[in-house]
Amino acid sequence: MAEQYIDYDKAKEMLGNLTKNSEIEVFGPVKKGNDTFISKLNQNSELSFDYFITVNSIKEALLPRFEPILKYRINHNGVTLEDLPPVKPLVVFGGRPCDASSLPLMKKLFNWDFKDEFYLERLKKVIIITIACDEMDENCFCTSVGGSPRNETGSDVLLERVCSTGWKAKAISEKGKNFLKENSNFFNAKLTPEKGYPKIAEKDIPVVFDSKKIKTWIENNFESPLWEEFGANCLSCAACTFVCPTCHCFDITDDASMWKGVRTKNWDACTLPYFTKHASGHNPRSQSYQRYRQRISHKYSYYIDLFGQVSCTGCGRCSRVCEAGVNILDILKRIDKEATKGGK
Amino acid sequence: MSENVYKPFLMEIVDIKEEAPNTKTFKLNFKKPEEAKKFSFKAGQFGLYSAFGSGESTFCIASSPTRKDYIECTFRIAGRVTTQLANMNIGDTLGFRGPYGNSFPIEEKFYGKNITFVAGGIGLPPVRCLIWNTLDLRDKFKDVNIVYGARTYQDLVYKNELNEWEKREDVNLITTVDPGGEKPENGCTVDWKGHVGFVPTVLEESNIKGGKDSVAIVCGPPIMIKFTLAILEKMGFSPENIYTTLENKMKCGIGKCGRCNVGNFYVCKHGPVINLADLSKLPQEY
Repeated sequence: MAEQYIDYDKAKEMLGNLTKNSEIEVFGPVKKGNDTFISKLNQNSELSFDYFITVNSIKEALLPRFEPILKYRINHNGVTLEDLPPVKPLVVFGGRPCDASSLPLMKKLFNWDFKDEFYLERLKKVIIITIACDEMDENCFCTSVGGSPRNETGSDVLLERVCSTGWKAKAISEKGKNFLKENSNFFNAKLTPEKGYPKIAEKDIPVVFDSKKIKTWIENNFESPLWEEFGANCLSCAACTFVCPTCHCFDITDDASMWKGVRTKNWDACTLPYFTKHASGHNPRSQSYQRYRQRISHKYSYYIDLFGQVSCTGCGRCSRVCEAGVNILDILKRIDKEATKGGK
Repeated sequence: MSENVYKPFLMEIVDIKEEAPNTKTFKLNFKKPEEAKKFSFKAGQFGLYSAFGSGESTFCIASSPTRKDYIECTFRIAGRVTTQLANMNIGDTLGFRGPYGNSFPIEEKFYGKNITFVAGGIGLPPVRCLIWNTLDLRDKFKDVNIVYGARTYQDLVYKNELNEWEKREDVNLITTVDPGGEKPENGCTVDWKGHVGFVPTVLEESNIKGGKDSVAIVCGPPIMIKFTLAILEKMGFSPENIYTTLENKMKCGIGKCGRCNVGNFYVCKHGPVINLADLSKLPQEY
């Protein structure tokens, strides 16, 4: 097949077209104020392609904020469980490689022994169209956790910028190939690659810490006073976890009237104070630094023990949204330094 | 879509026992006989019980796997779900997902040993499953000791079963209440014949022996567990032979929701049963 290109106008047209189909869910980058968010698209969505990175991650599409997992009716004879509507096919446009690479990571968890078919079914039915990075900021560190600005992991189609208004498309998976074929009328833009694109290369994002060293330090330093320092400014607001592509903690709650109800899986966060609070009132992680320690240790140590991989893609979103200035990269660099100094 | 892991079995309440103030035991039958037939569990496992309308709550399965066709749970009213459950009647429907978690290594580690159960207050239900499992296979074990205490006589759960165990020649039952718990003004309605004192103290003063042929299973409030573990080690129980069942807040019960972990140990998947040797390697986050 000849090389395929798509420009802003065709992309808008394609997404608008997909949105008309009520049998699929389409997510894309939408501008709100000065920021761009991955949002579920409707006919009136104002798409924007001139962003460096969306505030939130594509988790929004794969692990919904609120997701019904059970529906029931209560009657005089007891309770009747009702069928849930099937998961719709999805198209997610505009995430970065650090978004897409979270999917295989998350799959390991939701596939661990008991299968969470809500996540796995979405994963099966989703087309991930990723836009390779063309900019970076001081919070980016994908290369330190095995990623890169053009990493293909988790994507079905990768778009690489060739000029100020369009991209070259590359199918990564079978699903992606089919998608490009089915939508070939949108990928036929006549774009001439301009000089100066892509603007950044992998070497522009240097590796700044050794995640193996960080794991060893975490294993040996649960009681380190440094944790109190790291978590000192944390407000326990959980914004970092909500924008994180790999944070997956959830709550399960019932929402019911007298005769019917829905049980939903809802985003929750290990940094929230009540997250681990027992019914007795006892809370194993009552201090904010203990919760922050859990967040870092889960990603950089426990997840490796369980699934063999760091559960962080280096997107830097948590640092960008933190109102208190807690910066994960500074913390990881500091741990790396401590580990080098301490020799363990 | 294939099976929904969050979908509960529908259970009918067939019996309710008032155990202690705000503490009840439900006997539950599967509404669908084919689900009952397929269901099996092991001592130490737990489940998520749902009060439709309020949500789910985690309790152990308090009945023994040797008693088929039904399960029992014992709970104390503590929040929204347990309040709704407590208001239910015989014939009402609740939800149950499970069994989840690991179990006590009965065949591998307990057969042929002296077994000592040490429980405090609402800590008896998680080991009651194992007590009945042990008693139903009584000839597989040497001595069976049960040390159980609560704040007051009123707070002792499973009073009928305590009487039953008391009468058995092949069980050494030691019951105790905290000082004052034996007094009528604190709700004691009987002439208390058991001990008065805290569980660890009563345990230390008993004739129970440790050693490599002895296994202890401990469950109760954190403060009781803390002192009991020290006493057991002093009595000659090895850390590998002291078991407890961890309780951390849970929502999913199947290793996804991310809240029950103690370090890299997921209570819902790697636990809840753990021995002291392994527990001492984990961070103190329970």
